[in-house]
Amino acid sequence: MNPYVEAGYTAVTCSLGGYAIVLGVRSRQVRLRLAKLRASAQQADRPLEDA
Amino acid sequence: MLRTAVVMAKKDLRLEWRARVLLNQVLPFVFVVIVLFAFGFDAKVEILTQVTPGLFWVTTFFGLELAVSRAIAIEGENQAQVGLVMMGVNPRGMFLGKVFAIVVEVLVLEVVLSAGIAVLFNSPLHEVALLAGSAFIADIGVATVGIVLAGVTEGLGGSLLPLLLFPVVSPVLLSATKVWQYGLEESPAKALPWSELLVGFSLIYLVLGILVYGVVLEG
Amino acid sequence: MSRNAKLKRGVGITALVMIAITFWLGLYVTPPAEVMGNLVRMLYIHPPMAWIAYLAYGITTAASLLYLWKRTRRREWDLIAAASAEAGVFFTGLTILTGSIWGRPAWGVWWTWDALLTSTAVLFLLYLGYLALRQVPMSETKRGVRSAIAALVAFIDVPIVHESVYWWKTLHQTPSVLNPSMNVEVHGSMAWALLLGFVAFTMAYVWMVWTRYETSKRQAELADLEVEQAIRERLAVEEVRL
Repeated sequence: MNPYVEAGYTAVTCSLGGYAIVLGVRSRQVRLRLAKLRASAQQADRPLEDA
Repeated sequence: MLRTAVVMAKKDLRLEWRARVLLNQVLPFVFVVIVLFAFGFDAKVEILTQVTPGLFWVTTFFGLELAVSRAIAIEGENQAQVGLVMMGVNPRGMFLGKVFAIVVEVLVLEVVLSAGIAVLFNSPLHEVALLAGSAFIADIGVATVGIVLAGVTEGLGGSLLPLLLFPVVSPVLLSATKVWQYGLEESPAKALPWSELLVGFSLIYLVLGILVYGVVLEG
Repeated sequence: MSRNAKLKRGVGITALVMIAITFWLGLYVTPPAEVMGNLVRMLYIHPPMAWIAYLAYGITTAASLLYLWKRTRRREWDLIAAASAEAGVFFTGLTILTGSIWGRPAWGVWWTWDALLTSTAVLFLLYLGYLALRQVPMSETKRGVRSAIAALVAFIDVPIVHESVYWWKTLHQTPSVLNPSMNVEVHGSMAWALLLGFVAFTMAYVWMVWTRYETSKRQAELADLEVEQAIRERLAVEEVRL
């Protein structure tokens, strides 16, 4: 197989794959942080309601 | 709208005349550039005459960028323009006025620059009407895009404007250089499609600038 | 998992599978070309990259316009514009990279100021400028409005750049060895591979923009919530003092 073709396909795989992985990881991080913050916000509301 | 434009242009030009930034800083800078190019190209006249159009336009583009960022900078930190708009002044007129002032300032620059090049590089200027006309139109094109982008990058750091501006106006650089090349070669017919592109570019961005400047000032 | 998330996951998996099949077709099933030999296999990845580069820019501009128009102005459009631009930078960069890799054996040089490469380079710079603008700290509305205008200015420029660069390279110039046409006869399995390539990478682009957009949206919500929390804590301190 032509080494240039190999290089091309590898480049596409690595860069797009890398970007996709970074996107996914970041997405998960932010999603978890948001869920945590929302949960703690709900908890904070509850004692105020009792008062 | 036009009256506002004239008032705005007069104000900008009067400010420039008082501060003489153009005369005292930019013009000498232009001469420095000429000398630099002479050193860079080893003062070989054959090379210098060949690259005259490119040299002229690259230098002019830097001059244009300086003029544009100055035009926005003189409005001050609180962006007096926004205040004017709130008082009911037509932003379109303000836009046109600023463009006009910039074009006038840069034309002065270009006249001196071309004279300097003609004399120092032994590069006689042919087809002056074509050269001057194309320069005028090209200046309008870059000034219009420049003012819009300068408004967009205002207050955000000095290197953002050139980064945004130069790619957008690269067709103008290309076309203007071509027109000058054919003008200096005395084959003006070849310059026609490029001149059309210059006119088209300037018209498109003049219209866009007029439409969008109000929103720019908002932001 | 919500329906939205399931849909997005579906898109992602479809993209992955399609890309895999495209690669398989491109590298093994399709025949080598007459003149170009195995090098023609770049055909299945390079044009899709270019297509998406332009698609991404179109989406960024459309979203920017929707944001600019007061009646449809919502934070969501601004975030979509940004997400699409980010993906666009990747695909534009890859377009240039794959184009360069294809060009080296075909033309003998890594780079040439040919019309398409040059236009794509300018497109890349336009994207970079847009993203650089967005990085500067400023209020949300300011960022939205200013980036939207920058995107609009750049988008209108794209066809002008194309025309001018094309003329630059074709007017008054005899075709030389350095401008060989990349015309390839595409038939049979090659056509399918090419088509699949376009669809596959478009799906990948959709997934990327979707994910990036969601992350940005959540980050914005996080910022809002953090402000609320700070206020709440401040109030709690005040209450204790009272």
